[in-house]
Amino acid sequence: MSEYIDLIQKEKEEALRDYREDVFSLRLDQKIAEENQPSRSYASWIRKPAIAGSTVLLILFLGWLSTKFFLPSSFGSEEMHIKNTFVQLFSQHGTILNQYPLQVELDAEKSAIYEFEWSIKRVIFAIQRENAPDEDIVQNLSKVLQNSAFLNKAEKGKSGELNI
Amino acid sequence: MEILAGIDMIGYTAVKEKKSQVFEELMTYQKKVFLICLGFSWNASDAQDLAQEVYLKAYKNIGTLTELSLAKFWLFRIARNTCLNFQKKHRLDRISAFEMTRKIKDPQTPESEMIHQEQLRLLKGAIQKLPKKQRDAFVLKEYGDLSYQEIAETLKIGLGTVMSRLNRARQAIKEQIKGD
Repeated sequence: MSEYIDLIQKEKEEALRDYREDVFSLRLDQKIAEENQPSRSYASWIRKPAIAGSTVLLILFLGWLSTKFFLPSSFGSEEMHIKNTFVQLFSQHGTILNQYPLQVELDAEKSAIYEFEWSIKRVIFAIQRENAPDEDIVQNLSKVLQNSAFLNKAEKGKSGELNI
Repeated sequence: MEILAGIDMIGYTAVKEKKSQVFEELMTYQKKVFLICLGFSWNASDAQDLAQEVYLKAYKNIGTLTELSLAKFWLFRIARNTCLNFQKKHRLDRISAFEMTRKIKDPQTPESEMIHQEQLRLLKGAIQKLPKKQRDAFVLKEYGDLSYQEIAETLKIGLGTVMSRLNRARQAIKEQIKGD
């Protein structure tokens, strides 16, 4: 073992022979001075990604804005949905509508049709907001139409009574 | 408020000066640090670079040092950790072993020098093969010339543990060299 201790000792002596404390301190001082200087390279490094990041953010924002302005609104699809619902509705309840004077009024005056259409649309939008299934939309509309016809009839009856 | 700020500034300056003094004191151990690095590495050139890195780390982190009286052991710990990280990154055992072998095979080298280099290569290889804890104790003792107490403080272990690790390390080196 002592042979290898001697070997270590020899290695240490050889290493220390070339070792100069002043050179070591000088090198260290230089490194410390570099460390203390505000690093310009670091600043440029941070600046570039910052520019790239802000550009990406700006592009994303512009993209989002363009989708708001240039893409067709969901209203078109809503309209199609309403038309389909109407087709279903009238195929099932066409006879009901024919039975009531409301249908006669709708046929007679365009403004009344317009009002009617929008009242139906409002009902559909309200139902859609609640995420009701399509079958429910048809059923609910049917109920609304029946109720409105019933109320209309009742009101007419009431006003007739009052007139008496 | 201004008076308090003034006192605070004085306190801050005093601490800064104290830390500067501590760093100056740490600089007196540069040869020890260099030799510790030599023990962990394969050549003096790497050891010099490692010692520079150790002091740079110490300079950067001297603010985190709470016990100024234990700064010396803190420095030795930095040395040990820096060397271990260096070994992990550069796979010293393979690269430098090749360099050492190349030196030995150089036909210009005298025979005695070749024998010396071969013995040194065997020893370095044996040190590298030691379990980490044993290697720490061995290098700090044989290269850094630290006392048992200093090793215990540096590695934060008991005196008995230092002795047993050193004993096992020496035994292992003996066996490895015999085996080679």
